[in-house]
Amino acid sequence: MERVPDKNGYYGKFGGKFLPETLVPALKQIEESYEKFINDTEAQAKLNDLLKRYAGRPTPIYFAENLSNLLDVEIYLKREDLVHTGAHKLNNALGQALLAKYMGKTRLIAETGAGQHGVATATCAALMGMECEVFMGKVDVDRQSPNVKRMKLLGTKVTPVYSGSKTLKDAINAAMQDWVATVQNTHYILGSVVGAHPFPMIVRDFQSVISKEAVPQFLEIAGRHPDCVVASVGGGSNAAGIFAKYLEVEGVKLIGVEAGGRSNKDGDHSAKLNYGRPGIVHGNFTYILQTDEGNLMPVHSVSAGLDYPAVGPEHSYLKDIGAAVYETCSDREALDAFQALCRHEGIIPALESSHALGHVMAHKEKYKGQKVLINLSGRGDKDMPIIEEELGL
Amino acid sequence: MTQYNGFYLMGNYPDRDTFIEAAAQGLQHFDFLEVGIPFSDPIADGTAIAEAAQKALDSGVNLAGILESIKAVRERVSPEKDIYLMTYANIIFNHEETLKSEEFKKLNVKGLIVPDVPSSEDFFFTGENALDGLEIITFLTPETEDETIKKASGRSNSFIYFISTRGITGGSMKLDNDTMAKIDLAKSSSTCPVVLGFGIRDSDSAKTALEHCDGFIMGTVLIQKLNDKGLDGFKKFTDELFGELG
Ligand SMILES: Cc1ncc(COP(=O)(O)O)c(C=O)c1O
Repeated sequence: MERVPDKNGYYGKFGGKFLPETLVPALKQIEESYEKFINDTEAQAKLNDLLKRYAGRPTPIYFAENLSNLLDVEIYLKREDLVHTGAHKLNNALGQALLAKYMGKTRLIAETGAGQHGVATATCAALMGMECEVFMGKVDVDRQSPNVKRMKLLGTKVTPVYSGSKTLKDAINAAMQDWVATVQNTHYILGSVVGAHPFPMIVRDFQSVISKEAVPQFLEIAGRHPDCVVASVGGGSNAAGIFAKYLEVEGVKLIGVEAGGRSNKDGDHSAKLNYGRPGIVHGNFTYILQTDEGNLMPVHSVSAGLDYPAVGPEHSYLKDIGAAVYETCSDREALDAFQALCRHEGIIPALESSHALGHVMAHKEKYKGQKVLINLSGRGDKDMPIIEEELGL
Repeated sequence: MTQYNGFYLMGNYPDRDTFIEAAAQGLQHFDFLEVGIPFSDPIADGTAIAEAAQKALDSGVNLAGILESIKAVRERVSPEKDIYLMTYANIIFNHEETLKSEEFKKLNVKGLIVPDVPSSEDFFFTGENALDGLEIITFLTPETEDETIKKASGRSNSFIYFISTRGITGGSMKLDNDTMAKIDLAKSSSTCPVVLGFGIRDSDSAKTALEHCDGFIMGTVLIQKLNDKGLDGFKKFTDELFGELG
């Protein structure tokens, strides 16, 4: 496979830098500083030390025996839910916050959907003594309220966004609008492999720690590589992280799972790679859910972190070249998987991660007898308000 | 030097007739009109324009309808007046066929103003699938490096859109010394007008813009006039503005 992105930030025909001219010099500065940062042994040592002693890496791979017996599928979980703050999002936030300091920025901003990336960014700001503001759609402020409180405790300003659908896409709009005005002192920590180049690449690289660990760990506990690696896809960062090193391993099937929502009708799901078509939004050319006119379509998912009409450009590329496949998992299937993991393994997963398991559970015949590695991207404490509403407690 | 001043209206907003009337009236004073095509996620726009876009979308405004209105505007104004479309990359991407059509060429639209297509990416719409004859207007900003300013200025034909400040539409104008130096560089390296936009909302800011640039662009304040005071308020405001500018 070709190395992507190319020097202009394209993954095949996808990607690019579709942002206001005001931000172009900042993107260039980030690109150049990132290049220095990853070749600076001191900076890398600092990041690795934080990942180990602060974030709690490496995270284990756990063989979920009870669930495996029940499904007749060997289920292995990469436990990103055990990372400090409760999700893979900290892997990226730590890397980018250090990069921001490296560039001399004093203020961090971020968008958040589920609130996990917001909490991760707020955590880094507290740790590194930086000012921080997180933009969050009003709908998400309500349905992920525990994370809003955590961000506030950590000293971050949480700004609810009332425009559009009041969800993740609108939070990204608001963060970009802030950044155009504050770019001189502010770094925008994008939380997924989306946005303009070099963000999709940087976020993927910071998240690839997941598969750097997983490849040898899996060999050690299972004696061979998995048949399939499965991850949920919102913007696509936890999937990009666990796919990265497995893309170099022959014979491992990579499966991204999008939010199938209530149905496959327009507006009822967030499955852009399944039902969308290419277009340009939030800085890159990628698959999106859009109207004939080219406006973003309303989307839905029970999970705030997957409720987004676009996807990182690398996933569009992987789909088109056939290096990964993208499936869906409905709200119902995700909630079933959520409950199953609680009851049978004593693990309360994030609703996002529940989509990866939900897809496998709903198609257990297809995966029968296979070794399946699922990225358990986060834990589900944040989801209590939704769970109370959906399942009643 | 002759001035090149422009104004922005959201296409068919607040309704078709008001838009056409405001466009025709405005072009009695201004040299060019930027017609906004609403997009659901306008990352470069402040509240006033973003809300206008949302309302327009909610009432079913689309490119086809706006082009009909531009035809009506063309019939009423002098052919020297220029018309540009202002929208986001995905709207352009979804309407490439329309923008290449003979019908469209008859409207004599001079160029596209696309805030999420920086000059590094304009190859996406030029090169092979050129929207022939349609120039993508170059933006320069207080952040643009001098080398880029020189290169971009040399390539532009219609005008250069210099953004007065770091930020989105609807803010206030702040011209710092660095920015003024960049504007001077753009002017000395280009043969087309350098026009200042963002934050110009009254005769004072327009005068300041004209001290440094070849023209100014007004947007947000005109949308607000239409919202608050209707066509009469719009006309009164533009008449007075150009009265004061002399
Ligand atoms: C736990 C968890 N998993 C997955 C996601 C989806 O994002 P991505 O596709 O970037 O991994 C989120 C986003 O908020 C999340 O919090």
